[in-house]
Amino acid sequence: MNAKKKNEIDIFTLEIIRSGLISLSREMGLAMSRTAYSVIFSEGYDFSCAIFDAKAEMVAQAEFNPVHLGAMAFAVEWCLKEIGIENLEPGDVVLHNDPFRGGTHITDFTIIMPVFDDKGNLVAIPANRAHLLDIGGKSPGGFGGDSTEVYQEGVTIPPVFIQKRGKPVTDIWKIILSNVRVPKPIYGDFQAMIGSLEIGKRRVHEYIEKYGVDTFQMYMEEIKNYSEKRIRSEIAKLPQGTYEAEDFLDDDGIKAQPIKLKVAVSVMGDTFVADFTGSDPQVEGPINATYGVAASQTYNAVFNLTDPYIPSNHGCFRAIKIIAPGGTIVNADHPAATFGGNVETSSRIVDVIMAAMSKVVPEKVAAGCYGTCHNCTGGGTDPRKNNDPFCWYLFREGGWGGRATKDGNDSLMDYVGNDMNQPIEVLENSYPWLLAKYELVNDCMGPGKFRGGMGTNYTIEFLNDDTRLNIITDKCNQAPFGLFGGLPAIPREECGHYNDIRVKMDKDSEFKHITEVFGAVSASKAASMRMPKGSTVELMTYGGGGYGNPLERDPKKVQWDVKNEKVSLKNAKIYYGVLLEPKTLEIDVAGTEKLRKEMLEGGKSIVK
Amino acid sequence: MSNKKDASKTKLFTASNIKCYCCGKMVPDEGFPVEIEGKKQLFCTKGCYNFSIEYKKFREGGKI
Repeated sequence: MNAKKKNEIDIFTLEIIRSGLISLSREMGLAMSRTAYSVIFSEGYDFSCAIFDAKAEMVAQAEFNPVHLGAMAFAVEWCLKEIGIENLEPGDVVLHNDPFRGGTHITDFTIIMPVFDDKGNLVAIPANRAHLLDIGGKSPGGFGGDSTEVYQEGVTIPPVFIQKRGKPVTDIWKIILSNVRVPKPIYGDFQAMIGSLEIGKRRVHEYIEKYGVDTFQMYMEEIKNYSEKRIRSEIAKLPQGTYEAEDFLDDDGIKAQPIKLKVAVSVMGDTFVADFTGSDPQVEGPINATYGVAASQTYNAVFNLTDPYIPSNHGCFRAIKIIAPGGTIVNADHPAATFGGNVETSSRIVDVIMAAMSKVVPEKVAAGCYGTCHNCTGGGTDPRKNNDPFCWYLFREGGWGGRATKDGNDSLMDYVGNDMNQPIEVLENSYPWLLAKYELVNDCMGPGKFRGGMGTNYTIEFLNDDTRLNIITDKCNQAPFGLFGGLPAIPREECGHYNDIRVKMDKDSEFKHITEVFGAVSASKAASMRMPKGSTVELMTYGGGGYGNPLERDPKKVQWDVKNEKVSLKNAKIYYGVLLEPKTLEIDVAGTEKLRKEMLEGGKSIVK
Repeated sequence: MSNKKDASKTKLFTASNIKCYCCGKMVPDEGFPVEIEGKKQLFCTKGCYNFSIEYKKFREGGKI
């Protein structure tokens, strides 16, 4: 921006337009949720909305799904480059879902609607990305835990017009809708996406009318510059240097061996660099991340480490560099299977960056999160609804890691998704299910001065006879890590797992792991498991890691945890050195002091 | 981005695996080619090429 234009910037107008565009992104999202057909849209909010400028640079976004929002920028750029700006006209809508063209995973569709001024110049691009219930492939609802190629995961749609000059391109619609298992809700959800873009277009025209094209575009540019300045000043406050960390995924669903993610984070002046060189090569199974995912989750980590009130847009992205070598687990080459890369590997990317930065900004990081979206999908036919086909996508919340001043959040969607809980009543109405159990899991949280948050147990009984169930989760074998003397999450006594999946094939049998019942290689990833009527799946998420030495936890907090059945009397003593009178739960002050002293001085502390 | 570019770049086949020599981002068009040790390498932009030089210096202990 030249000096003359800079002088023309009025900070009040800047703030009005900046806030207005964020508000517009929220309005687009609300329109989608209220007009959608599927539960993951209307209740789960598994979508994102944003406004881009004519350079395909993001200007404003609402607080929806972090993994979508960073990657959307690459997808919009691809749409414009492949289709060609000169081929876009008013009333056009472009759709695409290719994970290797700025996508995330194949059920995430990006749709854009370019907005033009009255001279035919492109001014802005409202865009959204949303998770559709199904896009074909071998597993209903996607997430085949044993997929080895993107072709098995569904139908790839490169950037194509689905609406031209306001008219639907019916050939494309026919191709898409004939390749999905549940065309009706998917058609409805696509219409909700297009409807939300119509709102975006309408509001952009209102801005053009009010401010004029040149002024509106000038302010869109300045909004990005403002964010860039803010984030660069925050990054510059971090200690200069390079910090390294490693973290692991359990396995890829094909081979039972852990997969390493490595990062070297460099704070280089006012630029943040995440270099993933040294991470494991891409794998056969479906947990490969694409570049868009690696970038999204690096942005996500940086926003957590800096001022969360900085408006996130392309200006911020300019200050963050990602080095993700091709052919690795963080930037797989086509045609790798990528379903879990977007939801599992993505979590590890945030965790590993946080672990690296914990060495220099301990007050800004948290211990390990439960670290998965705990994805459970499937489908079948519903006997209550004339055997109509159905597909679902459930993501489950769990415990977050303890922080420098607070315990970790209990039962919250992990930082990849930011999605909402899908209420039991809506799910039971939508699918032939009985929700047999939904409860917090006690004694699973990593002990610490500030302990990890709690996970949940969510148990579904299937009321139809032809369900096929798919699972992609992680951290069954790898514990959410503790920090600064805090302990990792406490494994399940009976099997040593953390996050867990078990099934019961009829009402009288016992819960067993999917490795035992279906012969799955992995305890956390499998596909197309046949679940008969009366069978049950238990989806258990786990606690986060602890932060700080648990012997420094205020005994009153331990007492409160025991009173509220979050921590058992036994664990209060073993991990926290707190003695409570079993009947009244009063603190034995002298006994606690003595025990804690012995544990610290006598080397009996659990914490080494 | 200019509105007057001609010739559609619509690709008939799947996305390629050509990735930036520095950051790994897929290079959607001709990119920014640089000859390194006698071999042509593609960077996604000139900015990414310049950054790769700065970053190399930084990791080797040099100052930016």
